[in-house]
Amino acid sequence: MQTANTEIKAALAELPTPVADWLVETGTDSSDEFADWIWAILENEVDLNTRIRLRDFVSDFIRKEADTDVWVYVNFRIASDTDQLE
Amino acid sequence: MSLHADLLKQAHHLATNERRRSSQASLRRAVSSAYYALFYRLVDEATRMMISRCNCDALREHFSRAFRHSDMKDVCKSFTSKQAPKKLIRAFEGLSLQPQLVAIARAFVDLQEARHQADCNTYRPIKRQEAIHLGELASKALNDRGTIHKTPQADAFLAVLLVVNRIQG
Repeated sequence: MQTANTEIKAALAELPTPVADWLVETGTDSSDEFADWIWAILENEVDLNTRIRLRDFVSDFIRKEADTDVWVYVNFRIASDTDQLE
Repeated sequence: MSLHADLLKQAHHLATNERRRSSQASLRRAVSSAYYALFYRLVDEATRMMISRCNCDALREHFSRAFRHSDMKDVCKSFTSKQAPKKLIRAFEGLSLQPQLVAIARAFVDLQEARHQADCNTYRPIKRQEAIHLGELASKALNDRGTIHKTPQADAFLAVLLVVNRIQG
């Protein structure tokens, strides 16, 4: 457990921008292939390049940790704008 | 103005024009327009590259209808691995994929899925900011495309968008 906590903290420290919360869904995409959908709930709006770096980080992290090559769709919402997300 | 530029402009307009709360119809159309901006840009460039010896607009139009969204998505997925697809390795002349090309491929996959969700998945509302984000992603992909124009990797990418499933291993 200690190791897992350390790994998670290390991963979170590398995030290019703070993330207030995460939502995760799994399923099949429009190609009928398994995929993950991640919603990063951002505290504030961030620019496109930061979102792209966060998307790539999250996608690479999930694929590596889960040892999978499923596609990871990363979406972004602002914390104040998530009323109808869940 | 070109169709892809018009579509990108339309995506932004639909996502931002309604002053208070954008309608779901507008936001879903905005996402669709963002995807189609990139789709039509790639198809346009691919057909111009393939049919370049004459000013054959009609022939290009016929060719443009042969592109399949699912095939293009498969190609783009393969390009996001940052390595050229194995059966095309010779076409890349030993060159590595440019980061811009990988970014375009990634954006295409994400935008195509977002378009599908916008058109077919009505249980989850789309937010204005989400539609704006996807428009920005499409815009960046179009800009990236301009930076790698006529490189061997980009040419191979464009060609394989059409013929991926017909290339013998």
